[in-house]
Amino acid sequence: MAFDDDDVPTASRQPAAGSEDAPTLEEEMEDGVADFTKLSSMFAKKGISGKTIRKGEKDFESHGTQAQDKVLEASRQAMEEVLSYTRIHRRDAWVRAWYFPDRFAELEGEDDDIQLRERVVVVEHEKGNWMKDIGRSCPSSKDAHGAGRLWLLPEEALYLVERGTIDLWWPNKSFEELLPKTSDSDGQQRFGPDDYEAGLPLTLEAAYTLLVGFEGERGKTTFSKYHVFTHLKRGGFNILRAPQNPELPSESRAASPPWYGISLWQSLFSFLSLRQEPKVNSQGPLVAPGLYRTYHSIYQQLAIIPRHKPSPAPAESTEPQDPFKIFYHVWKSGGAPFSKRNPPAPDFRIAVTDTSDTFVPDLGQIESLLESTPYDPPNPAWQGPGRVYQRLKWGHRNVLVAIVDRGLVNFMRFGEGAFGEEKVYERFDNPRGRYRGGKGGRGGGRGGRGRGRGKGRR
Amino acid sequence: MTTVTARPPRPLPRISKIAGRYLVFDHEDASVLRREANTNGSLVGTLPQQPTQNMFLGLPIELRPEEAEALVHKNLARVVDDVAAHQAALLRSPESRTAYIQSLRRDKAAAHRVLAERAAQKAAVAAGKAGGRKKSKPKAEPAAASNAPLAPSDGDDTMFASAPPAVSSASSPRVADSPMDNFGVTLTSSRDLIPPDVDREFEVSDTPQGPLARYLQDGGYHTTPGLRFGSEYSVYPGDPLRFHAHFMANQYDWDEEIPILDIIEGGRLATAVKKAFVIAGSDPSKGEAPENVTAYSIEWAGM
Repeated sequence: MAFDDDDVPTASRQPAAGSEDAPTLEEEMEDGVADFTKLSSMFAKKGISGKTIRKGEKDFESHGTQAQDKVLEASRQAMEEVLSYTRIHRRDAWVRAWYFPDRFAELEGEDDDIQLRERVVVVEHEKGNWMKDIGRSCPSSKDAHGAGRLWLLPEEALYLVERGTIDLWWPNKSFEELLPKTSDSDGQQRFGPDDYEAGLPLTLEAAYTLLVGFEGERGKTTFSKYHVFTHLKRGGFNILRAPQNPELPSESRAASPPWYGISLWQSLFSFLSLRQEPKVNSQGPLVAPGLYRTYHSIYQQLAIIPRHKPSPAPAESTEPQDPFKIFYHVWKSGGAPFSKRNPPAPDFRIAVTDTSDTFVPDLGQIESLLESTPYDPPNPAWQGPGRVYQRLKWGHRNVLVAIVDRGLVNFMRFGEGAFGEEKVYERFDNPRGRYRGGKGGRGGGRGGRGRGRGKGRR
Repeated sequence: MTTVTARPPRPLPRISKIAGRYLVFDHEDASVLRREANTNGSLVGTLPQQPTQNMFLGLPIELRPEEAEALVHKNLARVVDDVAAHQAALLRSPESRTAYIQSLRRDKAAAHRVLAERAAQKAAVAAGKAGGRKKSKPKAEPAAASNAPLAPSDGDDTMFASAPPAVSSASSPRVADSPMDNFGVTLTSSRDLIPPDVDREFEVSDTPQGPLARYLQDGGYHTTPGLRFGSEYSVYPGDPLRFHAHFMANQYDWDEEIPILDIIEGGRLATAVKKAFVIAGSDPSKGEAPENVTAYSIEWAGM
């Protein structure tokens, strides 16, 4: 009893010990009181910071002092307190969602532009501002009774449960009984938070068992995809599943004329080479003997291995295969208001892999993955030798691959590099250009030796 | 230690297996594993108190399969096929859910009580400030919320005088019924949802094992995923909350050829971050005991 030692009992206070005839529930409450600090922290939204959990610098090893033990114990307790929190929903902010996994199970693929087939959780009355990139309303063409209801993908539902935003229930009654047509009963909730004949509130653990599964299970997400989703949501990004039938290639083809990929330089120099250079002998030597006035004409002959040339419309593209397939489209927060119905072109396209079952992609995998993204050449303003690395790094297409190791998420960016487009030797024939290249780049302050090295490299 | 002492004979910590992953949802189980079985796992859930950051995550805790196996092997935990257990429990008759509903109601009542007290405390603090009374000496609010029951003497009378209805309704939650209808509760673990017989029925025993995980568990080491340093495990001499990792460890098969580049990479990287690179394997002809694991640590001499 927490208040037994209170020697000034006030008249208005009911003695808690006096409730002998209370039901079992009450007795269990008493058990809880013995441990009131714990209960209190269960509901306290106490701030968590590096300081509360990780106190001071870490040590190399245990030196058996009490001081060290105390610090460790304090860290552990702070952590345990944070983890013991129980999600409660006050009535005024209470949002209930129901698990109805089979309502759209029969839906055909091509007719399903908003991925209704994968949506297994329906929200009873949405409140708050989390809907800007989460959930889609069901159109009346798909479900006459439940038209206008907000349906969630498994990762969205689980994230909202985990965040403490929604209260997910297992239904005991039919969809029609629990969720009458939105038009006839506006704002009326038939069943309150304590009506357990209607259904059962699910635990976070139960939500995981219902919403996370193996690759390819309908209505479930996988752990790695879920971790990537929550990692980005927590970071404030807007994220949607990539559409199932992307129409990217045609779109990008329209954007840039077909001759764009053929470099002007190339056509120019091919013309020159025809005219000026000594004839190349197929038996060798590689560089035909003769008089050369430019480096270019020599390098031109040395280039016998065809190089990859990025093009806005790849000749033959193969379907990307899981896991090297774009799964999420991601947008940075801020900027124009985000619309989940008409999203702008995504800032990032992400494929999801897991360390337990994936290796570095082979050339075919990465090629088909990159070719499923739109052509995105370096910024035309990045001209000149000083920005070679910027151009190369950016590439002509790019994609992010998320690698998940036990909830730890890492992102790697793969770009379609075009080293063949960066003809470094062109500058050798232009002394001013070379000089600028050596000096204007990163090694601006280098002495004579540095410049010499730069020259040799270029 | 509040969490560990409360219930007399605690069942073994429960590891739930969902889609091939091994998770711990119960915060008491998590703390038992951390304190008594030197297993911390990785927190992988969103922290509901602070959901917009990636620094500190919440439950569940994820264990590697071989970590879970090492615990089961030493009888420090058990693994349950949680998907099957939940299907069975949810499809059972509503009568079997009384324990769970009771625990929901208990938490609702507790939440109601805590929030009422907190509101009262705030009111008391506000009243104390307004009246300028010296006697009540209100403490800082967040601290007061958790300290109140331990030090109820000062400022207490004002608190109860200002909010008698809250206390009376909390002490008889059934009669007033309001706390039940005023809250929804999402429990983290399904401890009360899954009946014990169902839980036992779906225990699993075929967890894949890793000799190195057993060896490290046996030696009292803590491990975390090695992704940050490019190995399988980062190995700590104690709780990672307090200590730096000493090793980056990889497990190899007994007859496996280890590429020399792996050793150079691992050795150089580990040394650069003040750790040693460990390679280990277990001789299959000698059996599964952790003593049969041979481990070498490699440091880059840099001569």
